[in-house]
Amino acid sequence: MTVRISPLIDRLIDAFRILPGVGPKSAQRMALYILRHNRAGGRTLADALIDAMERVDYCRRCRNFCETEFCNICADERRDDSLLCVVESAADILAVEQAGGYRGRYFVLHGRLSPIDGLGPDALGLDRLDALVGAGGVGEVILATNTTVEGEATAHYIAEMLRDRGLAISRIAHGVPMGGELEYVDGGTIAHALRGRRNLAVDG
Amino acid sequence: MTRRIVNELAYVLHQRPYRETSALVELLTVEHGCVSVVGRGVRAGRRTAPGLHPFGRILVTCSGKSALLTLTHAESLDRHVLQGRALFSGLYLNELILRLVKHDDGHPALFVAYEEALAALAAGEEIESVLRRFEKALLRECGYGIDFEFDAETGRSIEPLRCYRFQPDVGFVGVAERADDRSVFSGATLLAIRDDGYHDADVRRAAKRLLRRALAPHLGDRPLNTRSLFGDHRR
Ligand SMILES: [Zn+2]
Repeated sequence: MTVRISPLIDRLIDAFRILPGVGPKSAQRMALYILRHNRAGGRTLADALIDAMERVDYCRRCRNFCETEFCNICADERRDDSLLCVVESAADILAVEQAGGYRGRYFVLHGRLSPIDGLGPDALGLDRLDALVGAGGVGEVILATNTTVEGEATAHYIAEMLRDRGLAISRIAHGVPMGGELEYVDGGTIAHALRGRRNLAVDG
Repeated sequence: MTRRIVNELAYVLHQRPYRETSALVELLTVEHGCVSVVGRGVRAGRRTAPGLHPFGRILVTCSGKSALLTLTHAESLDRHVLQGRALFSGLYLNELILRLVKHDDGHPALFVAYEEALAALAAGEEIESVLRRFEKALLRECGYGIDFEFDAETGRSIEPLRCYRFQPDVGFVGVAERADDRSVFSGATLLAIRDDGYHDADVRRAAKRLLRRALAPHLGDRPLNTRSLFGDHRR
């Protein structure tokens, strides 16, 4: 059990515990560290937190986090408007961007359909996605939700929702990971990989 | 009192993240009905152990003193891969089971019915027929089976040419004429549903209407969330 120290320090320790992976012991270590070694850094952290909490909102177009009306990606005129990649989280945008090679736009769901947990189509704000696509200009929607059961259900729901919009709808390929040995891949993944097989063109 | 389940066959119905690396997993077992377990560390590396996703069949070992047992071992056997509407349907079956089946109540026949339904969905069988067959089996196993043989009031056999009103917890009661009543069904339709003969679209529609009414009292006032997946997107 954590030992209570003083109201202000206890409050600081409790506050650190909202961070993922931070238990009582690490929170205590963090609090005592900045108090002893880095007060300036602590102030910077406090300011950054307050500014971000007050000013970061959702991009009006893609729902990515940003503090301006439109995020950097949406504001970038060199991007391909005809491609729209739908992802579950803002972290997924970063992952795709860091992988490189994609120059289209995004839409962030900030979640996935999980009806058994009470997260249905309404909770996910899919009407905004529908409106964005309905506004025109998008030629292909790439459904890049996770390859979990919920991610699959979300992708299929969106595909049905957009079916009559007259555009191409694709799903990211998933199956055996790069460098993966079949022997160690679970049966469900192998079944998916087989279903999503593609033609291997051989020249000559 | 410590409860222990050792190497029992189970299907994963649902799992949700719990703390940093753990997951709460809902299972349908052969001998113990629905079982909730916490799998500690199963999401280490941000990816749930492959067998612990819905529709996965596992051999489970778990124990504990409360209603929530601790998963000690899960051996992944195989998993049905469902796509599209078949996937929505599978999630619907899972929600139905979670809502109707009690903990610590073994239902070997229900387990088999679930297994058959998943296999049929994965094989691309006509979805409505699969769902109705399963709903009937689920009601029967939970002790709410529908009696398709006899008029609940007179005790006489259901006759194809007569009409019957369905009353949950009572059964079918003969009515003089076919009023404009969503609870009234023809005897011929009831006998077709009894035999799972769903090739006729009218029978499929009637079966859906009947089973919704039969399930409703056991679902209370909370709607089934998975029904929202089967939205009508036509503009
Ligand atoms: Zn944006």
